[in-house]
Amino acid sequence: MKEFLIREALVPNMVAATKEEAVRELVGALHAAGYFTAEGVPAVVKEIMRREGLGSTGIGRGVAIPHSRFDGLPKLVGALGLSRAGVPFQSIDGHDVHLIFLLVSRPDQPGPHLHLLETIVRVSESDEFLAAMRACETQDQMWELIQTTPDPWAQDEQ
Amino acid sequence: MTPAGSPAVEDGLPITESRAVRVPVVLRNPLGLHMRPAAAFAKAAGKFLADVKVFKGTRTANGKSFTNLLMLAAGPGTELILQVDGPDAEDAVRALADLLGSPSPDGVDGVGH
Repeated sequence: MKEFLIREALVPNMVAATKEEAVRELVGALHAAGYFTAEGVPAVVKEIMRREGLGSTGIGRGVAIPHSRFDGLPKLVGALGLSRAGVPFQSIDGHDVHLIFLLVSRPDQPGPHLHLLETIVRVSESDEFLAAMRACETQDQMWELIQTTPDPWAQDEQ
Repeated sequence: MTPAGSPAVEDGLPITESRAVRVPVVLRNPLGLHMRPAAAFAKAAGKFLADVKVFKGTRTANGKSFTNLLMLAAGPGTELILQVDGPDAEDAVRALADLLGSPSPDGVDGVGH
């Protein structure tokens, strides 16, 4: 997780009230961190929303993983946003989401994408992790928690 | 004590006999078992009465849970074992093995959209 989430794209207090606003906000955070050109942002947002149209990426427990693939990235990159109010996401459990992991991966590298999905699903099963992340109020606190959270798959395959 | 003339039932076993079927399947999706194929598989598995398990090496996932399946992090070409146990196991194993063996993101018939 710490390899792929971009520190400057951690958003402790999202302002978005809808799914599309949330996607825009987090793609914007990746752009601000240097990952897309201003012209590239709308295309990334559109592709992520198209993917959401095929089925929500809200996995339950207040977590969603909107994502898409995009040519030209050096590696898989992710943003993480915290929404205090919650964002409607058509999640499988019907609840609004509070943690939004937005991933943009390279089309030719399925492995990192699969491992990061696994990691996010695993940490999302931890009440302790979810509570600790939701309690973060600053980017630094979020980054610190990400640094100290082991990647379960990495341990598993050592 | 079993009354004379009625079918014998083994100690402690349910009357429905176990029909576990295990088959090896190579994952053909070129992007691996990512979210959409995992969701499509779980949805298809959920239509059967049988228990569905998917093994990747020593790891096991409940085939009816898409988040469980995502935790396998199964890449393209991974050899999986599909284990189905229940009264409709034979139909289930056929349909579900086809899904894992299908290169299309959502399986053979587009379920899971």
